[in-house]
Amino acid sequence: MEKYLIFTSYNQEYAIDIGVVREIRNWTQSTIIPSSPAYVEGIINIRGTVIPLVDFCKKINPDRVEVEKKAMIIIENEDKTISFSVKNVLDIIDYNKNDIKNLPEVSQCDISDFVDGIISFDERVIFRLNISFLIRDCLN
Amino acid sequence: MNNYVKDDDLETIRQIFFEECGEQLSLLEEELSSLEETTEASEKINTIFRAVHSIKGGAGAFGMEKLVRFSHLFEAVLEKFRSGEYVVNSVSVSIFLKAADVLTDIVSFYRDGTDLPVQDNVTEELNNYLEKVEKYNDYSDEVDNFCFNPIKIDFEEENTFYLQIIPEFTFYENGDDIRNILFFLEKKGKIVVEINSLNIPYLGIFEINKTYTIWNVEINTTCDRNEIEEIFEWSGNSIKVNFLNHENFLEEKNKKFTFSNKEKEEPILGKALQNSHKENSTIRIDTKRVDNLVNLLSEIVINQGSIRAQMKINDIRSGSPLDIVISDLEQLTHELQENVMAMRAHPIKMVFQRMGRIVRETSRISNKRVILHLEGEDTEVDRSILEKLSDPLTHMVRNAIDHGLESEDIRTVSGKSSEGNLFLRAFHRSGRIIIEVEDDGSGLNCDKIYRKALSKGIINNNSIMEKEEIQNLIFSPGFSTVDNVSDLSGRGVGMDVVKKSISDMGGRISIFSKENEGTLFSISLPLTLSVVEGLIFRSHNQIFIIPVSSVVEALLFQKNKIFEISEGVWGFSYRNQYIPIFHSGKIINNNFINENNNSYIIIENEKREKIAIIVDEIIDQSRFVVKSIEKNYKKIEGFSSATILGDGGVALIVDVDFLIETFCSKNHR
Repeated sequence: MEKYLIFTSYNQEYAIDIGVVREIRNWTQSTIIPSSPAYVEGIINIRGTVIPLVDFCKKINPDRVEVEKKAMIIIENEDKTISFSVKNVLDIIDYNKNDIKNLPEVSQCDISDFVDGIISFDERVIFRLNISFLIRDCLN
Repeated sequence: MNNYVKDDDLETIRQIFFEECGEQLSLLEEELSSLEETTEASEKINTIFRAVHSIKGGAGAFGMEKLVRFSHLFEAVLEKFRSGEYVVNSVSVSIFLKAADVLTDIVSFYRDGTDLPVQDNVTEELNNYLEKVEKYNDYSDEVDNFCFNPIKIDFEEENTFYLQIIPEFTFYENGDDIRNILFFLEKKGKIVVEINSLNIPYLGIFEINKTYTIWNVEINTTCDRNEIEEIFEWSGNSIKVNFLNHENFLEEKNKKFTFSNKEKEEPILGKALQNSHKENSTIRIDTKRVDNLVNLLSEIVINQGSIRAQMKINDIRSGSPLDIVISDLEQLTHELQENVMAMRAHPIKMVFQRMGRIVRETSRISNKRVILHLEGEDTEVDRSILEKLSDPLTHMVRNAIDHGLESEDIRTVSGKSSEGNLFLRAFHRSGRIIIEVEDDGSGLNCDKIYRKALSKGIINNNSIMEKEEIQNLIFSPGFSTVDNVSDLSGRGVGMDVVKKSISDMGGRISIFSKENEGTLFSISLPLTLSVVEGLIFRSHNQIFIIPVSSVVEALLFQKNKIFEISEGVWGFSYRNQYIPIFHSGKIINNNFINENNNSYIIIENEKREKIAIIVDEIIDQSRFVVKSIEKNYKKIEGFSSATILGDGGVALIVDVDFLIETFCSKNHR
């Protein structure tokens, strides 16, 4: 069994391995950094470290605008600490790795780069994120 | 990982050994560099010998055969000098230096698994010293010597020895104790010990670095003389033992106080001073711990900022008791911060000393005689900078000798001294460390540089450039002025790499060169990489920091001083000169439209190029803890780093060099 953190962005649910989550905070205003991609909200201070804040919704789909951002998830992976602003954090669930389904193969799918499976839990469809891919993509 | 790791414990001990090796090697180098000039060569040879010896000892314990072999050879040669068979001269010093290099190489071979360069010629040169007496090639003895040899014991005979034991100061300095010796002597037989304390002078002329006591020991033993001598062997030269016959012994015992201080005083005092100079006691701390301390301290500084911000919100006036207490706290924190910073600071000597060796080496290969002048060796530099400084400096020193200084004949013709002069200087200036590398050679040849850059395709045919710009071309990637790449400087590392490593540290490098008079490279580095004194300003509703070190002046906005040069390009009249001006909002957004012009800040770079920036408001001046942006994100153009403000928000620190380069039309390409 693995533990996943479930959060919502726009109207979808996503899951990340709890192991990489350092902390969850209320969303705050960040410092805008010039000449950065639109999905980078800015940089914030997390206990003395300066880290980028990425608008998760915009990162996944540049055309969408999240109306209400309540939370920031701070993730630490491969020596990098980065935070994502999301609509809301729901809960933590236990899920068996083997029960994860594949994403249907659709062309022109924005999220297929970062989502590596589907968790179906209580008849909800939750996208499981490949956090390494996502972070690497955000930093390039 | 390397192959020698057997388990964690061993690895830890190995690590300690390598650390010690590093210390011994730098000691070695320090002593070697001053060996030639000193009048106390024998003293220094002794130190060098001990350093090599302790490396050998550790290497033997770890089975590092190559290290044992070479250090033993080195030691054997040093022994010849120690015994006075040879006298130190410049040739031997340079061989020693090379030997020290080889030792360094072998140590790093075992530590990092780096390639081991061929050292045959050094080995040969060392062997030359031994040849006359014995060709040294048998080292296996030495390793085996550590094992135990049984000694035949003769019960029949019983001897009485009369010993006079005179410990030198170094004996105690090494942590030895006379009690240990007596303890071992006691094991050999019955002893009678008498202390001769007559030499102890009155307190006024008592020197702490001198030993005054002599021990007279009468021992009744079944052992022979060799076995007694063996006890003292362990302490080496630091203890003197005289075997006396009975009459002399009695005479010694009854000697009266005959301390002749007059003649001895002077040289001993000098020696004592030298010794005490080296005795700064130190402890070894993992740099990570110090770094943690620095980080924690910066948190405190930030927190204090928060307290200040809260006080403002709650309308607590300055001068109130709370304000006074907080001010005191800030004072203390400031002091604490400086002390912690000082913990990481090291004198630049560490790097300069290495340069001494590079100069020797380079001048030998290039056949130029060079005198190295060092100034400001005691200037302290943050460790993080120091570590990164060595490579660029090495390159610049090599360059200066190889390319900068002319050959002896040419120097004589142009009326210069036959030896070239190379200056290395370090000093503090307006919150930065300045390091200068200057030679009195031919200076930069602008024509040659221009043609070279043209042929390399760095510039094109119709570039019209000023002298200074041409000189700066040597920092372009793929540039090298010497036609045939020489053994020394042409190692694929160009001045562009030097420039890059300097600017990575937040430093700047500039050239001042005059034909036939020489070239001066000036490196300006921040004192530390972790704190910056900055001016806070607001622009475009966001707060930015600009390092005070690059601010010339801050002025109130005056519309009549600004004039349009062409569409969107503005000039500013500043103290009888016209300088470019732009609105700071442009850093964030290029299409920015000026609204609240409140103040100007005049900034300049190392070359004293000035520009003016318009800001909405200048808020304050304060010290800021530098936080890397790249660590978790990537480099942002126009900003060198970020900092955390009192309210916990992040502010960007402006990269002045980048701004001037971008907005100064002259440099914009």
